[in-house]
Amino acid sequence: MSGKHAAPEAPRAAIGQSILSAEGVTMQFGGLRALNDVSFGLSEGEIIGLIGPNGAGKTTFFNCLTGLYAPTSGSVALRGTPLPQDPAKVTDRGIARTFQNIRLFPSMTAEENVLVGRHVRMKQGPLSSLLHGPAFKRSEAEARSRTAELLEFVGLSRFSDELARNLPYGDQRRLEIARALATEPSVLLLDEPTAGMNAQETEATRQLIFKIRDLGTSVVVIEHDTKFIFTLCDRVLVLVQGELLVEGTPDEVRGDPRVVEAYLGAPPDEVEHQIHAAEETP
Amino acid sequence: MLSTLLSQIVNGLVTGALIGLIALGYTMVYGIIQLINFAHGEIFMVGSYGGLAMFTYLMPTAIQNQWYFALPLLLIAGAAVSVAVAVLMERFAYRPLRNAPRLAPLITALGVSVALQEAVRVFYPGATAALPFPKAFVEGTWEIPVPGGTVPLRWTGLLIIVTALVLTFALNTFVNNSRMGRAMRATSQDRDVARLMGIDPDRVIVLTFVLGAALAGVAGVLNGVDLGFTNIDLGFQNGIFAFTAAVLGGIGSIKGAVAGGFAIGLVKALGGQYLPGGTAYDYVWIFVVLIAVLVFRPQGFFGETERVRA
Amino acid sequence: MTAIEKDPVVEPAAVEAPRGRLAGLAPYATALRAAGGLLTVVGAYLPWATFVLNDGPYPEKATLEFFTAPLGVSGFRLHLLVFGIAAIVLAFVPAVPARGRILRALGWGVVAVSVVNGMYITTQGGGFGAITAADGAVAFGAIVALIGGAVLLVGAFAGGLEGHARWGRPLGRFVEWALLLVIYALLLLLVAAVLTSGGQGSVANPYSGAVFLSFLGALGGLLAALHSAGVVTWVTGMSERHRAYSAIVLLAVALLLPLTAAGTQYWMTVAANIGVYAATAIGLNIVVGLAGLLDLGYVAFLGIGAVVAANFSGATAARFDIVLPFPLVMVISAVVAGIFGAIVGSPTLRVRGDYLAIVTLAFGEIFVRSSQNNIGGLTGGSNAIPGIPPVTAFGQPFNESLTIGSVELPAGALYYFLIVVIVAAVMAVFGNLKNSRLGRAWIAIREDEDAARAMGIRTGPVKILAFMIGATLAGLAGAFFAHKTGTVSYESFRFLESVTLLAAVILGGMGTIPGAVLGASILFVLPEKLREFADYRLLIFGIALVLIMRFRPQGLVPDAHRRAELAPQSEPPPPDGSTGPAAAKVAAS
Repeated sequence: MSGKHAAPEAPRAAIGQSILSAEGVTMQFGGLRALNDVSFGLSEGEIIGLIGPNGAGKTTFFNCLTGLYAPTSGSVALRGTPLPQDPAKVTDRGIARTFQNIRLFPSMTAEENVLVGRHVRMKQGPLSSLLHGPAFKRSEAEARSRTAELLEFVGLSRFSDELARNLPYGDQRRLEIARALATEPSVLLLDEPTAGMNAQETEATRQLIFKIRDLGTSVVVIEHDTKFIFTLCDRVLVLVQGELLVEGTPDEVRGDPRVVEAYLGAPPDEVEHQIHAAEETP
Repeated sequence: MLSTLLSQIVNGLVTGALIGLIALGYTMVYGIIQLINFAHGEIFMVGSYGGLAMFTYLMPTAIQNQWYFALPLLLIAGAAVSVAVAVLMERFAYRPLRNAPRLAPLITALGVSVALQEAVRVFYPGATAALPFPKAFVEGTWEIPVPGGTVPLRWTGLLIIVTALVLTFALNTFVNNSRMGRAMRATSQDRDVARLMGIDPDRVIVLTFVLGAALAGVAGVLNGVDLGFTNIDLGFQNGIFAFTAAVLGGIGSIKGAVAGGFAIGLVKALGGQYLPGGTAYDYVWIFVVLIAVLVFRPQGFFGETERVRA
Repeated sequence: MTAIEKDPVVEPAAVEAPRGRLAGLAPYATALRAAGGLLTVVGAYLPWATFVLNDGPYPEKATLEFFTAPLGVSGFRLHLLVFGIAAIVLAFVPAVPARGRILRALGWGVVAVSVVNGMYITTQGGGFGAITAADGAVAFGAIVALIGGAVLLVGAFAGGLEGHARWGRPLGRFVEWALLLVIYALLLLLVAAVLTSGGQGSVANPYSGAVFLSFLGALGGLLAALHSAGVVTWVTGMSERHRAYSAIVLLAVALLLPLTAAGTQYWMTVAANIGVYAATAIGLNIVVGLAGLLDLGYVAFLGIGAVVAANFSGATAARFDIVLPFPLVMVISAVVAGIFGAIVGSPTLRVRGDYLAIVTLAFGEIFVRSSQNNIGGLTGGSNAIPGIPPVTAFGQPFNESLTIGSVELPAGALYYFLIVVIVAAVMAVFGNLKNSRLGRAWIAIREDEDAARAMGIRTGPVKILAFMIGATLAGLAGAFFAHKTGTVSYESFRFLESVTLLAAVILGGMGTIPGAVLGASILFVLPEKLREFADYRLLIFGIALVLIMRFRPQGLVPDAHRRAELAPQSEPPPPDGSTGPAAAKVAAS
């Protein structure tokens, strides 16, 4: 997190080559098909939005991408190499995530939460942990300074020694992002990062995601707030009943009648009206 | 050879029926509040002392030798004492911890277990050693003829098997068909939703403890009648076996608990007969089965798979 | 913590308004406090027993005979006198911070002392006549003191309770070193006093239980008062600032115990036993307190260590005819126990939560059953392995007394030294691991296993490592245990012992070192002291376990930083602010 980022609304970074791709991911729970043949590709420096009604399979898709679920069929690859079916290894490879219902370590301090995020990037064997030699002290110091930078980056420095569970709700979401960034991901998956936030906090989160993108991390965001998604993302995917319905730029998706109908189950005009109404009343 | 095998199978079935009766309490309580009620084994033990107290202190000597009078009274006394203890235990030890992290009730259950066992040892006259239990049933065995010999089945053993099957059937009918049974199933699915539907979860939970304890109390008395003695350490042992049975059958499943009980009984009897080490190691085989089941099939054989939460 | 407490001077903490029915008494608070103190002093000077009890006169000249030396109060009467005078002084000196809290602590202390002694005299004397009036004699000491304590409590509550006092501006390094030295020396004397208080159980002194419990009550009151006054926090802060120094001095202080009043063979043996369980409890604390994995068969690792050591000891019943030097035996015991730890821990790859607890219980039972049956001729079965020779170094057996120059060390002191070193090493292992990548991974798993995996923690190996390291430490203690007790029997490693160890960890406070040591000490000193309750020991133990879970699940020394696994989650700050640091920190920030 070196240097300041002058313009948060900076022109979108050049979209680079493909980094994360999913091919025909299908997830079956007993008789329920939560995901059906979903494919997508994420490029370097890109922000993708994933929207869809409740129960559309968005979080399930995240779980498949991060190795928490083993897809019934289909494959997920990072930079062309298939990902292992183990969340820990996936994180090690460079995919980090946050959770829809915040999953911080509640009885650890903010600093310790982020330090846990450093786990995969720290070299500290059990023996070294036991003896606390010079190498250990170096790696601890390095991890703590990185942690301090990250807390600064998300604006939580003053809460460094506070227990995670005592943080205000919005700050808990931010801390989760800092913890995910500590793993030095090349892809960051955010599951409803603005849920429960007011307009001001939502805007701050939007700027934060831009800053993260500008540092070279590609981002996939699940959100219900369509305004947030349409102003944030380079591309938007619409998932309905486990199927990828539409994919395109925010403008394309916004105007697509199928989306409006599937997503809100009502004729387009009315929905357009509803969306505007919703946007005006925060 | 065949008669030995069959004899061991019969032994296993008797033990298994008893364990199954206790396992029902484990499985119901776990199904409804996800608590491993360690103290349930002690509820079984307390039941046997309840029956013994009835026989020793309350029962007119005139009917002591007429088992058809004595046995029902023993069973009622045993079940009553077990139920009373279980209700107190639920009210004062577990209910205050309803929303505590999961370790807390488990450790509380350990504490209750130790306290109950010790309370009986300290306060029940003579309970520091095994006490003789009235053989309030037809004594002797039924020698079932098989090729190459006979297979002995104690009449008390037969009583245990029949009682276990009848009570399981009754319980299953109750849970599936009665209004309270439906409330129990609803509460075990989702306590908060059940509350919204007008079910009082506390009442349902107490009822669960009551049913489990009544069965354990009956088992306690039957075990005493069968063995001819009772002891304070019987609860812990049989409790662990019953827990194993409940897990084996798929925790939360009534039929599973009894099936698991029979499986455990057979492992104990046949393992003691045929596996290296003999009867000295029969307990070890049960624990080996327990570990294997928990590791390889934690949902048991009648249960559902648990999904990862995320 | 340090960042927030920028200003370490006394904070004028808000006085919490008195609750409910006591509100009306607020104007009389000072009078009530003073009256409570006065009654306590009077109680201390009154006779406590109307006649000489069957087992002999009650201690501290409680049976009227005190008139021979009216001012020479001692023992529990001295404690009451001190508490009473302190209460009177506090009642009239408004400048003392957290006055109400200190008075409340003193009040509880007075109540505890008078109840313990009063009840002992009542039960031993055969009724209330013993503490009121009988045979023409009157002895209202217990009752007056109890009323004094109660009035003191009412006065404390009526005046309102303030927050805990906080003070202690950091002083110069050498001043703090000197202060810590004095405090640790006092701590040593305190430990010796607690150990020896009441003597060696009921054989030597029929009232030892009463004396001990009364002493504990007074000590509890004193410590609570010091805590309210902020002294405990201040000392903790100081020792945190000088960790290395504190560790060295505490180690030295611990080694000096044989030179205090506790320096007899009996107390050295008790202390060494406590040490064994403390070391084991710290190992268990890694598994339960840090990684949050409940282990109900943990004592088996102590047993495995002991069995291994016994078999290489040259005892007649040993399986092997090889006698290895003790340090090597310790290493082998630790390694073997560690291997078994990994085996027992391996189901954690697939099993979680309660089920894991049951798996560990099953492994523990398998160990007990197998050793009962003398598996492989290794455990001696029901005959145990007796006659394990003591550890010997430079021709000096560790179980005999030793004279160095003019200092005579009691028998057992060498074992005590050894276990102190072992416990210190185990503490260092725990402390270092806790503050490392591995320790944080354990705590993360305890807090939320799925999230921990999402952070790249390979939870499987990390959990197995917790079991392995915990078991290794227990194995180390086991080797010591085998030689010190001279006999290894499966009886010492039953389920109840595992529960006791777990209770020690929980009672002390999960995830903390002082907690595990304190818990082990309490659980193994109390039975020594309260032999007259031996029959009720386990009953009380079981009930206590239930009560702890209900009323203080975080233990006596809660992890200051993180409320451990058992503390109620997301609880609102309690009205009396008694849950300390977490709540206070939010308020402060």
